Order: sequence, then structure tokens, then C-alpha cells
Amino acid sequence: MSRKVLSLVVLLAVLMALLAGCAQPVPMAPPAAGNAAAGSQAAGGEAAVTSGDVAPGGTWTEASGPDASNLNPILYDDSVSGDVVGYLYPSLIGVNPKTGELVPDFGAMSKSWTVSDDGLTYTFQLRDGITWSDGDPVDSADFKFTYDAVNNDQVQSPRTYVWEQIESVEALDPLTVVIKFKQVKCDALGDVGLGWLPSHLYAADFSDIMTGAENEAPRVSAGPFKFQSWTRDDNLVVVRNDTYWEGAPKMDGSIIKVVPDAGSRLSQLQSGEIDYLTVQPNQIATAEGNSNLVRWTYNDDGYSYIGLNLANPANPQNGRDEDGNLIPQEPHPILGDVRVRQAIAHAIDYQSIIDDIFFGQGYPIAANVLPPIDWAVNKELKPYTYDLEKAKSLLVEAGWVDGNGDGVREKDGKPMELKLTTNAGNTTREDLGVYVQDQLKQIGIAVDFQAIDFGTLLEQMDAQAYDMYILGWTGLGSDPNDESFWSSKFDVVGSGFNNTSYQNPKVEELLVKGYSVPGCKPEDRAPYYYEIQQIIHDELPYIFLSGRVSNDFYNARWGNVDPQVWSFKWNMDKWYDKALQP
Amino acid sequence: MVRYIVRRLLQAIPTLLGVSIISFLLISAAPGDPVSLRTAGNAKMTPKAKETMRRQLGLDQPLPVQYLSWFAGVTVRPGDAVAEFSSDKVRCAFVTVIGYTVCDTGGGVIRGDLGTSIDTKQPVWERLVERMQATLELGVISLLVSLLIGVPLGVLSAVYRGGFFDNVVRVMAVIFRSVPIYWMALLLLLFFSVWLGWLPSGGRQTVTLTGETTLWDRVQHLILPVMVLSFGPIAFFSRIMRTETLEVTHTDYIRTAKAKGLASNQVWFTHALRNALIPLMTVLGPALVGVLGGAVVTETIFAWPGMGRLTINAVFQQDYPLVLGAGMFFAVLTIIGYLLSDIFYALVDPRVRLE
Repeated sequence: MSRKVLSLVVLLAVLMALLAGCAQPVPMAPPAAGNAAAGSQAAGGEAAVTSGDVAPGGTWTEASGPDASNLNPILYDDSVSGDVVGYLYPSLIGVNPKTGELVPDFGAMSKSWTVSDDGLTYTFQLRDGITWSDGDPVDSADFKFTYDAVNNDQVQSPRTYVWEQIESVEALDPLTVVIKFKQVKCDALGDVGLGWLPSHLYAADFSDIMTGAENEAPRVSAGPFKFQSWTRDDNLVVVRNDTYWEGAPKMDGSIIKVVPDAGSRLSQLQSGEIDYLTVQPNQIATAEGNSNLVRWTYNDDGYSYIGLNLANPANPQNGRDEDGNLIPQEPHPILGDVRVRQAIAHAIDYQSIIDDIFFGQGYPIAANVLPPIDWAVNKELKPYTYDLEKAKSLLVEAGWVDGNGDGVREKDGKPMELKLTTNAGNTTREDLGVYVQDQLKQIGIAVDFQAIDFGTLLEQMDAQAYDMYILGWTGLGSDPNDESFWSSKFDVVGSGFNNTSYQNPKVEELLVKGYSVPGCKPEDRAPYYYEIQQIIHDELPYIFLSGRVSNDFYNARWGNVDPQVWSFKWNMDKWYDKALQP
Repeated sequence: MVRYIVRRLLQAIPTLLGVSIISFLLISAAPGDPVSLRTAGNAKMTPKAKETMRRQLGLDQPLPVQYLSWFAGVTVRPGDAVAEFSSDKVRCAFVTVIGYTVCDTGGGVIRGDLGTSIDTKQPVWERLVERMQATLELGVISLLVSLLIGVPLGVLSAVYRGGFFDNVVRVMAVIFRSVPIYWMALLLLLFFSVWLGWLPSGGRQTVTLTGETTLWDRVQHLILPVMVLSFGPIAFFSRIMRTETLEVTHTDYIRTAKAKGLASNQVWFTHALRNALIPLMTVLGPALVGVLGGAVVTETIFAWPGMGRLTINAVFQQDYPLVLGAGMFFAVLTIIGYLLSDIFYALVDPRVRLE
């Protein structure tokens, strides 16, 4: 073979390899419109099998980008550790996987609770006869120990906020816990849901909470699984807890593999090396093509939005002074005018964002409460329509006109220029930024868009020294109370999530009324949230871009998998491996 | 030689001090702080809870105080706070003259305590050592593979210079050296794991509930990452060896060896190779240090739990003690690596004397 021919062959081989490596994902057609809270399951919806008649065995394997950090229920601060903690440590209350409601069921240690007339004192009756896997009883002492530990200054717990609602915790007797709250707050019940520490394995003065061996290798469990092994940044293994009080799981155990690269995780799902993965929108088409996989799609509790600074970024101020009085905010020179914000809202074509940037995995939202909390959603509200003419006329009304014909509006000699940022590396948000920049240019607003380091972005947000940013909320939970975004109490320069400096006494009043309804019945609380959504929709501290749609894929060899909006794994103890069945 | 080594080690002290101060300043200058980063996504987090976290981590203190605490294990707080901060492990005293409470926490880098990781609450030292094993396994094996393949390729290229073999090696070297690791890794993964299904796509071993594994399983998991990590060095070593061998061939002693009728193999591999290896020694020390630093991209794609991923994650997560600890660790390794390199050099080349 001549040298020329050889070089040509090598060149061709390299080119072919290059092409193979550049396969592009094909965007999926958007799902049919509609804001149904319920998810949909694409296949494998066979009738549930009663758990008594299946052969046990099998290993459920999943992959995660990051590793777990710490298996102590009051110290960990990431979702992977949270999953494992959920396998091992019991909680006072359970979550209804369908409604998100907090209930004395679904693995909860409490079998019932009563509330005092003033709504402040909750008395929980615990289940009798439940033990840790070493035989020690699980009782109220464990609960009290856990909460006292959170409150101890030697313990660096990221959950000290629970004590901002709780006045006191008492173990009346081994099976009775009494919790007194500082004020009536319907969502405070969520704060008593921490995993319990096995107090008999810790020093009474909490001195070994931070460094205890339990954080690395928990010896006992009162949940469906027991800890087996953990090789950091590699894998974590749990096995069936035969003494689990609700009945030992059918499967032998579960493995969480750490696979940092998203492409590698998808490969492993396809090859069957892992059984479950939450798939990114651009990976869905690939996963859909695999007949061994079942898709579970649902509207989760997150959304993407543009945060607008309503106050002057040159003069950031707290929302309240030390005595709790409102501090009037100096308005943002451009975004301080509600008509400008509404113009921005009308200048964005939400459906095309959802189709093109979210690969169809999103839905337009009108305000701050999402369909999974169905009872609190104001269904009268409609998302802003895409209407450039209306946007332009709102800007003219607000006094912004393009006097010099350069395409950018001015007012009092100042051009309409805004900065927009998001965190670099999140390609979806980077695409959103470019899109928004382009759309706002069409109505005469010059946007300087920059994708910056996440730390820098957070610093700007905390300092309230920005114009607009694109981010998303996830894991907002099953209660519609989001006062930390809208109340001036949380407008704290340097921290605090009301970094838009939104201030509306009416909304603050409604927020308080909404969470302090005696009895906390959804139907009594709902009207307040309807009204809050109406005001947030009109005043737009956030431009709501899209609700989040999650796509989980799991291997069809697993039976009895019954994913729900608020939990995928709620009945994991009933799952069985079909391949092992006779 | 011993005097030389002692002198070099003493010189390392100011270097390490400098490294510690510079890394501390750099990480503190990085935007954002560990608490904001950890709480940004948790809507339940309150300003008060964040403040508590900052205080507990010592991030509310001025920078020099933070450095002192990390370096010497001494904390300084205004006013009389002896009662508040004293415990079994922490001894505090109120210094009336300056009006500050000074506490000795018993830790600090100078006492060999690199601190505690913010994320996992483990001692930093423990985390580093944990990772070292995986890193050594992958790094040393790929270094050996690259040497075993690269060195003979280089010598043979020199022997057959200008010929077909030399050209093929050169083309391969250019490809190996210029193709991005990321792309190469994904391509191999796609080919060998997804399409052919011959090799596992990541991890150190097949994970089972019992943790059992076989040597063959471990070897299979090593093949792809070792390939990816070796391509670049094979190209590099083969080019160095080719150049050096060619240089050596023009020397008098090779001519003498040829003249006295030695077999060609003996001329090349006994006389030429040994002398051509000397320059390689100078790059081996730093290469070894590089290996210990881990390979971020390869470790990420093949889910290999090594140092590279640990360090890069620590930076992204702003786990200050871990970043600083890793920085100090690598500084020490680099100093030792270069020292070893010098010693090797003296050992293989009798003309070099360490004074």
C-alpha cells in the first residue's frame, strides 16, 4: 500500500470517528397541552401484584452525578444523601405520594396526632413495638435527641431553621411527642419531618455527632434497607432490612453508583447497567428508543423564571429595619415600573421557549403556585400572551420611546439598557438568555446577557446588585407558602431569597393569613393563595418562563413500580424483579 | 548527597508557607461563599440559619483570623467569650490587653491537621488518603504502559528513521497528542461499551451487594481509562526517545561499539538506550507528580474515584478546607517529585554530582 493511500485511509477513519461522536439529539414533539398535575406512564402499567406471591431477590441500581456527602440525617445537605437517609432513618410524619399531604402513614413513626385549640401544640402518638435493626426501641427519646442536636451549637447542622418555628419539643412518654410551635404556621409541620438519630448510639452531650462513625457507616436502621458499604465517589450499597416493621422489601438491595458524566449515565441506562435515571430533556429521544425502559413523565415542583430587581441595584437595602418596620425601596430606574415588567412578560413567546429550548418538557405557568399543589392553584389566571404590540404600547405608556431611532428606547435621556445573567455551564439557561435578549431587542430594550460563574451570580443576587437573572426553583415542596420569595422579612442584603426586593403589604398580609388559618384545611387556605397569585401575576417580581417537567426512566424488568408525583420510591419495598419470577 | 537533600527540604519550608498563603488568598477571593452555594437551592433556608452556618464555619471572621485558625489552629474573637467557646478540645483564654479571646483548637496545618471537609465532615487528610489508592492504581499503571510502549517505539523509530515504521509512529503520535482526551474517551466508551459491549463503561469494579470482585473484573475496568491516559504520554515519550536516541547515535562511543562489531541490537538497546534514557529521567519526577494529581477528565467520564475529581469538586463546591488541604498536599508532592528527579538524575548519570 502506498504511503498516500495509507494517509487517506487514516484520514477517512478519523473523519468517520468524528462523525460518529457528533450524533445530535433529536428534539421531541411537545406533549399535548394541558396542566394536568398527574403524570403519565408510557408503558408497563400492569396491575399491581400483591406482594405475598412474588419471589424475592434482585438489585435495584441507580446512578448519580454527585456522591452522597454524609449519612447523618441532620448534617447532610444534598439529595443523594437524602435518599439514603430515607432508606435508613424513620421520620415522624409521612408524605402522601399522590397529594404531597403530610400524614401519619407511608412509613411515618406517628400513627396519629392531635392539635390544640390554639393550633400551636401538636401531640403525636407513636407506633408501638418498632425497633432499630439492633433491637433497641425507636421511641420519642430518639426524636427529642435529634431535635436537641440540631439546636446544639457544637453541631453544624444546615437545618437550624426548624427551630425558628418550633418553641419546644417534649417526649412525654416513650410513645408520645409534644411539639409546641411559636406561631400557627400551616407549613411548619414539614419542619418536624427530619430523620431520627438512633440516640442510643450517640453521646448524650452531642459531642460525637459531627465526627461519629455513624455518619460514614450507619450501624442500625429502622427503614426498609440497612447500610452495607460505601466507597466514596464510587458506590453506596444498602441491603434489605429483614426486621423492617412494614415488611422486608422483596429486592435484596440497592446500589447507588456515582457516574459524574451525564452521557455515561445514559449509556449505562441503555445497557442495563443501571435501572433508573432522571433523564435530561435532550436525552429523552435516545432513552425512548429503548424498549426495555419505561418512561414516567410528570410536572414536578419546580419552575424556571427571570428574577427582576425591583429596587435600585446601586442602593440595595433590607426590606425591614431591626424593629420590623418596612423600609421603602428606591425603585429600579427601569424595572421599578410595573408596565415595563409587564411589557417584558408580553415580549416572550413561552410556547416556543418550551418547544425549542426545553425540548417540549415544560408548560406555561401564570404565577407562583404549580399544578402539583392542585388545591392552591388559581385556575382563573392565564399565562401572559405573546404580544409584541402590547409590549411596545406598555413601554410607550411608561414613557420609554426610541427618540433617536437607534432601536433602543430612551427616557429622560437615558437608554433602556439592562443586564441579564445566568450561571455558565447550564446550556438551557444560556439558550434562554440569548432568546430573551433577542426578544427584548425587538421591543427596544437593549439587554447585555452574560453567563457567569455560579458563585459570582449568587454573590450578585445576594448583594441585590443586578438587573435580571435567569434561574430555576426545584423541590419547592407540597405547601404553597413561598413567603421567603415575596415577604420583606426575607429581603435581606447578603442573604434572603427575596432578592428582587418585592414589597407589597397586601401580599404579606395574605401570606400570613394563608399559613395561619386555624385547622389548616386546604379549602380554607386556598382563597388567600388565589389572591396572592393574582397579585404576583400582575406585579411580576418574576417572569415565569416554564413549569418543570421531569422524565424518569426505569427498567421494565421491575414490577409493582408505581411512581407518583411526590415520590418515585414510596412503595419500593413492594418492587420485585420480574426476571426472577417462575 | 544527604546534605543536599536536607538543604532542599529546608528550602521547602518558605515555599510551603507561600503556597499556603497564596492558596488561602485565592480561594477567599473567589466569588460567592460556601454557605450561599449550599443554601441557594433550599427555599426553606432563612437568613438566620445561614448566619449560624457562617459563624460555625468561622466564615464570619476577618481573613487573617481565618488563616490563623486554619494554619495554627488558633482562633481569635473579640470580647470575653471564654465560656462560649471553651470545651474539652478547645482551650480559651481572655487576653485583657487586647480585649480578645484567644482559643487553641488543637488543630492547624502546622500540627498536621488539614481541617475538616465542609461537605462530608470528614478530616481532609482522610479524604485525600482515601482517594490516593484509586489514583495511584490508574496513574501508575498508565505511566508504566506509556513507558513500556512509548520508549521502544521511540527507539525503533530512530533505528528505522525515515522509513514506513517511523512515519506510522509519527502520524499516530500527532493524533494521540492532539486529539482531546474528552472526545477520545467518549468515543472509546461508545465503541467498546455501548456498541460492542466488551468492556464496562466506568467505575473501578462491578458493584455488587456483597462487594465481591475478581482480578479480571478489575483489569477490565482499567483498560479504557488506561488507554485514554496513555495515548498522550506514549506519543510524548516516543518523540523524546526518538530525538535522544538519534542524538546519541552520532556519539563516539556508539561508533566505537559498531566498529568493534557488536550486534545491532546490543548497540541500540545496551549502549544507545541507556544514555538516551537520561533526559527521560528529568521528566519522570514531574510526570509522577502529575499522575498523583489525578486526571480530572478521564476520572469524570469513567467514574473513577480519584484525586482529580476530588479536587475539582472541592473547588466547585467551595469546600475551602479540602481545597487548601489538597493544595498543600500537592505542593509537598511536587517538591518531593522534583527532588527525586534530581536524585535519579545523579544516579543514572555519574557525571552529575549533587552538592
